[in-house]
Amino acid sequence: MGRLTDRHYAGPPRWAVWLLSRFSPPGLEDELQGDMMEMYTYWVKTVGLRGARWRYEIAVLRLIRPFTWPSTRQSHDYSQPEPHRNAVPRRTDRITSSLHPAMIRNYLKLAWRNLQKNPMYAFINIGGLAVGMAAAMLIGLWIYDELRFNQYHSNYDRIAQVMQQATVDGKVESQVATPAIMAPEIRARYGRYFKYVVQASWVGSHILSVGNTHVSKEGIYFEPHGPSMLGLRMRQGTYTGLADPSRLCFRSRWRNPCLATKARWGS
Amino acid sequence: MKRAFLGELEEVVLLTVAALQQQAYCASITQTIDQQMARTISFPTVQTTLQRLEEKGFVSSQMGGATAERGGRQKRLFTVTVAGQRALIECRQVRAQLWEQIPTPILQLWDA
Repeated sequence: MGRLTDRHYAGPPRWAVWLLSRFSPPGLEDELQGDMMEMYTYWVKTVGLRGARWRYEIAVLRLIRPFTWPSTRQSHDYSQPEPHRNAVPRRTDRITSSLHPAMIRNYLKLAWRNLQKNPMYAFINIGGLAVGMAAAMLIGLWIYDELRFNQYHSNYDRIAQVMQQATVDGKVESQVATPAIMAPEIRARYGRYFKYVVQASWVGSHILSVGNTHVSKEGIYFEPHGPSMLGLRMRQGTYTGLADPSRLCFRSRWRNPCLATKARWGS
Repeated sequence: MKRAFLGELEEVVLLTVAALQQQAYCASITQTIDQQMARTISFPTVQTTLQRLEEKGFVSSQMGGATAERGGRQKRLFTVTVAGQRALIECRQVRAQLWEQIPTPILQLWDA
């Protein structure tokens, strides 16, 4: 409706004018549009163009009744003498709507009575709906979980694991175990494409010893840049902590104050 | 006697209808209240109030008076009905009664 080229248009916003002309309360279209035109001129004088447009929009939004239609039948009351020619029927007669509070009360009452009358059907319907909704919610939870899989590490979308492919007896096999020489080789040849190239050992059981306390824990050996590559969220310490081979990094859920300060790899 | 209840806003609007006489329609009423009462009032509020007053039988309305400034559209002109007149007079009387009950020295103190 609005032409973008018309920069000097000083009237009320066109969409609001259209809304008012289309969705005025039934029977009041003419007077409301006229009144709003006058109000707009008055607002432009008192609060300026921007203020006037704003007030016009708000007023239109409050005036429109998109869910009412003019009743097709006028109520005729012949007990009274013919009214004045200009007389307009009372406003309350004009508005009927399926969203009228009385109608909504009626819908609810009817629904309730039908449920009481056919308890078996009510049970099947409501039970079926409940089962269906429960299944939909479970599927929703499942999808929610799947979409968040493996996203803990902040660089998860740019981390890759190097695998080795070998042909054994004519069969191609892929595996995550790689020779120790792989890391220096990749660094030398393709290092410019990656920020970090890091090697780690298998997960294995290791013994932690402090004095006479010995604890067995699962863990890996990791090259120093491991934590920064994974983007681990550190409670304490720094990403460079692993540069010293005698240091270790452990998850915060495993709290043992004695070991936390003095722990060293045992074996 | 059971008094017809008039809300504060209804009273202001009804008084304005009475004051404007032949020129009482929704836009003029809004503008008058806006200017004279120094009170920002929105057009839809006045419109709803007028509808309520009409439902209560305090005002009646008829169409008329299309002018160029409103794009040749008709106005709904409001007039105060007898019931409306009574309600307004009663309203004033009740207030006057209360005013009279304030002791004179106190009124002098207020400088009223």
